[in-house]
Amino acid sequence: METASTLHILGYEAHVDGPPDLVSAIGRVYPSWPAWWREPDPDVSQWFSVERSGAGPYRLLNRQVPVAEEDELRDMVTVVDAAVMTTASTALAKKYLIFHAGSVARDGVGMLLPATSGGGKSTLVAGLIAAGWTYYGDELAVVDPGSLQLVPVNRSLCLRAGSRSIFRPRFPELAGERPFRRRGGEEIWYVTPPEGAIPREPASVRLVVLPSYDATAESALTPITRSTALQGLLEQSSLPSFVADGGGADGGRQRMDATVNMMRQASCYALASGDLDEAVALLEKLLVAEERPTAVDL
Amino acid sequence: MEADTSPAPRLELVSYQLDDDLMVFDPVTGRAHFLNPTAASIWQMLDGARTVAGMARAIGDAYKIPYGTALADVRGTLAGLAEAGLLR
Repeated sequence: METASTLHILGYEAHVDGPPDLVSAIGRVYPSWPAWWREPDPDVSQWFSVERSGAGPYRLLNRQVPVAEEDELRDMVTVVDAAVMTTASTALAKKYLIFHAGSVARDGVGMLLPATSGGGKSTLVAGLIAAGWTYYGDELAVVDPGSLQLVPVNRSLCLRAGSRSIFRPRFPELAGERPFRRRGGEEIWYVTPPEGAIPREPASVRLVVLPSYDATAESALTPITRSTALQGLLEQSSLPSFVADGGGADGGRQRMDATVNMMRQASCYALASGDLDEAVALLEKLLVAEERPTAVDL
Repeated sequence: MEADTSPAPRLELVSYQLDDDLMVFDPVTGRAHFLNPTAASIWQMLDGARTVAGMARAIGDAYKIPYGTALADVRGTLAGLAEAGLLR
């Protein structure tokens, strides 16, 4: 028996069909946020199906073309998630600025946390959500190039095994959850953002913070130039692939104009920390400084 | 690069001033190039008319360094810009 579901991320949609357990699990990875539904662009729609022939492996097909295999159905969840994220990133880049970054906001102040995979983005974002920030994404940050505001990606947080103990007190529902496994064997947990963390409106990007994990260092937040921050941000940008994939030079220039304008309105910092509580405390203090510049000495 | 040549940037490049720093964006590749202060000074002199020798004199005057040293700096910087594909 197979079921089907359609995922929506802003104007991107992916039709997923396959065994009910898989479709249900993927539906939890991409919870529906009706307030953020946007008219789908049929040119970027994707069709994924997971099927199995006899006792053979499960196969993921994209538009009927086989793209991956897994022996265990549960392991197919992270594979489908990766396929959705990859195609969504490409599709959304036609309309938005896309960065490989965590993104959160509080009191209308949007913050980008660009970092490579494994750089601690999700851990930091989860810590900030637990402290009351709203959630715009832990993997893809999406910015409207016209308004220079963050718009959210309705994908559950993805936490690695290494940070599980940190989050047990913050997200007790993780205690009984079985992990999912990525290719290569890494175990992860998807955490649906709490209702209070779902954004109700876009948020202007006013903080760009480059995080780095350093277990041995004293936690520190250091001001950096906008140029340094832009360099870090562009290392996590989809701009080169957008240009190469048909966005063209004019499109590339428009996006860079918007990115630079976004940086001109942002305060920029580097965050080094190996302690989540300290990192969150520093960013909370930074928020107050951003709102009341004369009140706080960082 | 000879002292009497007059290098120029590729026409399609876009430069952005961000506070005290200069970034050059290549919309054909989608790549950004962040210039150090010396490279930024030289970049702003690239008009297709000013010679390498003229740039070296200007840099020498601005930074109070001998012409020969400035010429070597300008040549080194222009070689880097050319290698990055930013010059015509």
